[in-house]
Amino acid sequence: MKSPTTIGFVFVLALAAAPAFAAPPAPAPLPAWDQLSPAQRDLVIAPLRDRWNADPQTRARLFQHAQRWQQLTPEQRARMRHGLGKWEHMDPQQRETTRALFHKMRDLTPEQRTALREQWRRMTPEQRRAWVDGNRPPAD
Amino acid sequence: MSNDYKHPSRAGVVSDDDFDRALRARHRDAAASLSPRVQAQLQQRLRASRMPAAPARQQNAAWGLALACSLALVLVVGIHRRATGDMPATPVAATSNTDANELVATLDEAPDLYLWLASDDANNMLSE
Repeated sequence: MKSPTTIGFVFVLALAAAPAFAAPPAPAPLPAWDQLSPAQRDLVIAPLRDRWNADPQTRARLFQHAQRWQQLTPEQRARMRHGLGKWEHMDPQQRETTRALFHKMRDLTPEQRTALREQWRRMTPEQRRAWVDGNRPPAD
Repeated sequence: MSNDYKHPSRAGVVSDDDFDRALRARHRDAAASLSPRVQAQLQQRLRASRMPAAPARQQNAAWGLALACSLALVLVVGIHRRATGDMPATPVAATSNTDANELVATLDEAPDLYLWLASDDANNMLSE
């Protein structure tokens, strides 16, 4: 049978060690952008700043995309995020195919889109690869 | 058994010394008649009753050891967490790391491409 001293020893040990093993407290919710400090804002946009500075040739394209993003409704932005999630799980070849199909479909009439869908459905993988090679979108 | 004890009612007035000697003689006789086992038990209890402070000192030492070990454990775990970066980082740093790729990717491609990618049209064509 355990003596009172032993039980007390274990109790004190557990009591003192509990805070050390407890899960770290959840971080406080962050405020809106306008309430962030300049240092915090710099930290958040640092990846974009690097991207902007790394390649001067792409700055116009990035700016154009930012302007287009600003025109989107909240509902469209939510759908865009869904599409972005799918994009991030694609391999380079799938992305190439997506770019080619998107740019081609964007320039077609509704009837032409229906025809392309039907044509695409009948293509073999090799034919699709050849179609993508022949329909690479121009650089923005 | 000794017979030198005389009861006052029978022997008249007895001095204190005589009375004391008589009682001690009675005690010796009684103690001599005890079995060795009972004598050993009595001696053991006598020794225990003469050392009451020892267990108390042991208990105090045990509590002190418990407190010292607890403090040492807290100190070690705290130092380990700080050294391995297990302490909660600043919230902004954590957020910026997880969203950094998404932030750049948002502008890397046309927003309309991502919109089309989320449509049923793209889903049908790209999943075939």
